[in-house]
Amino acid sequence: MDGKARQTDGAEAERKVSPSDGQLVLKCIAGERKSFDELIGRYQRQAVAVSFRLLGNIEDALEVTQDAFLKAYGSLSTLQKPEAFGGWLMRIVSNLSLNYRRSRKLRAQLPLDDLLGPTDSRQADASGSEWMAKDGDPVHRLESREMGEKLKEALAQLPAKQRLAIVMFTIEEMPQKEVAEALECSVQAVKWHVFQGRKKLKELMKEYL
Amino acid sequence: MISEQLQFAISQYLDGTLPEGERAALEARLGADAEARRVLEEYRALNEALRGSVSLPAVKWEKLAETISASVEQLAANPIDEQTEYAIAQYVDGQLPEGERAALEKRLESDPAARMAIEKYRSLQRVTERAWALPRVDWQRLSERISDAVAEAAQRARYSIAWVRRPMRLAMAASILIVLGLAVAVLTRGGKTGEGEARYAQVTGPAMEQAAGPAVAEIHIGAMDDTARNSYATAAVVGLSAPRMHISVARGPEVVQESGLFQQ
Repeated sequence: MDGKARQTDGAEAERKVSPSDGQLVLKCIAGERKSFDELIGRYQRQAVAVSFRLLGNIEDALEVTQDAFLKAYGSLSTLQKPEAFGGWLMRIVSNLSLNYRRSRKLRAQLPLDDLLGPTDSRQADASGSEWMAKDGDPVHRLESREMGEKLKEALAQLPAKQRLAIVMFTIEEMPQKEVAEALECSVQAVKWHVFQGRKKLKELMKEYL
Repeated sequence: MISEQLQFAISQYLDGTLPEGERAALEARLGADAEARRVLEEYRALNEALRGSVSLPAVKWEKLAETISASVEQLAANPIDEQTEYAIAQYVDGQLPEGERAALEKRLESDPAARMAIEKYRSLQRVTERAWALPRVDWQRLSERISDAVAEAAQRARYSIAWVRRPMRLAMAASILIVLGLAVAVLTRGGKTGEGEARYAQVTGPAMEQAAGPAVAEIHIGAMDDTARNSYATAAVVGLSAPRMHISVARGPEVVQESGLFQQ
């Protein structure tokens, strides 16, 4: 079989002994504010990654992530299935990312420079130049950068659901069920959005594949 | 050219989500069909490109978690009061006075609860705008149509004034003629005065009554009376106040066209 087993990350096993997302949500609703910190720890990477793929800018992605957690905290009591916190949060992240308008002047509070690593790698990453450029060959690096840019453009041309399905499922490797929760659709529909997005990307990227 | 169904199956196969029962058949097909294999390879290359295209920049995750946690803490500790919320609503509407706006913006820098409230109001505004968005209208065509309709109504009204609409209204027309004749007689004979002097005549014609048809001509001699004019449900009104004449066309209680003042 060609498909690989899907796991969220190494923290999965650890979660089995830790409280579930649903338990943490319920504790938080009951007034145990610190339970939310556990959820922040579990999902911040995924939130930043999804937002970064959609926005193409890490500063914006960090802001969206913070806002998404704040919004989630403020609306926690409206979450109907506490166990589905992850997908629900990703829905907030994707909505905020898709509707994102820069408003940095309103957020002097987020110390972005303290949150990021060295500037050089950040710029290289954000420009999409890291794709298969590990050998340091300048020609290859140039082609890689071009391809990275082309991919970002192609991804931006997809309809929102296809783009989100590709970002969450194919790139971030989130479980299909969670993606379905985020997109408010069935698992079968996620497969279909991934397929349709993939087909369009293949067409848009045909000179590179 | 392979079918979309087969391409969909290949896509799921690559993702490991193809149902167990379909997997063996697809693998057999991949073994025998070079084009199906090519599609699988293209999808695989695309996946690799997507995953490798932009790696996530180095983020200090612990620091980020602390920052978000502090914001959440602040949000939990300082829910916004009604007055601030009102200011925020005005801010979103662009109605907050200049002085208060600067103060609110300063507060927004450090108050996540206020920022969340702003986002909620903006979101509400977007949803409202979408929900009640006016469909696309060709304003030029619409104005032409309205203009045509008004012209047509005016045309119909003039037609009615010429009293040739329906035979059943001839009776009323006759009575109007009598009144008009009386008026002319009084104006030309009864009240003879020197040139340039005002001529007065007061003739009370048949009582005004509700018009039965959609456009009935009524002639009123004497001062125009708004109360009288408005009493017509549907009427063309000719007001003759010698030596000036004023014509208005009414549809229901609403005057749809006025001639302006004619000087005789």
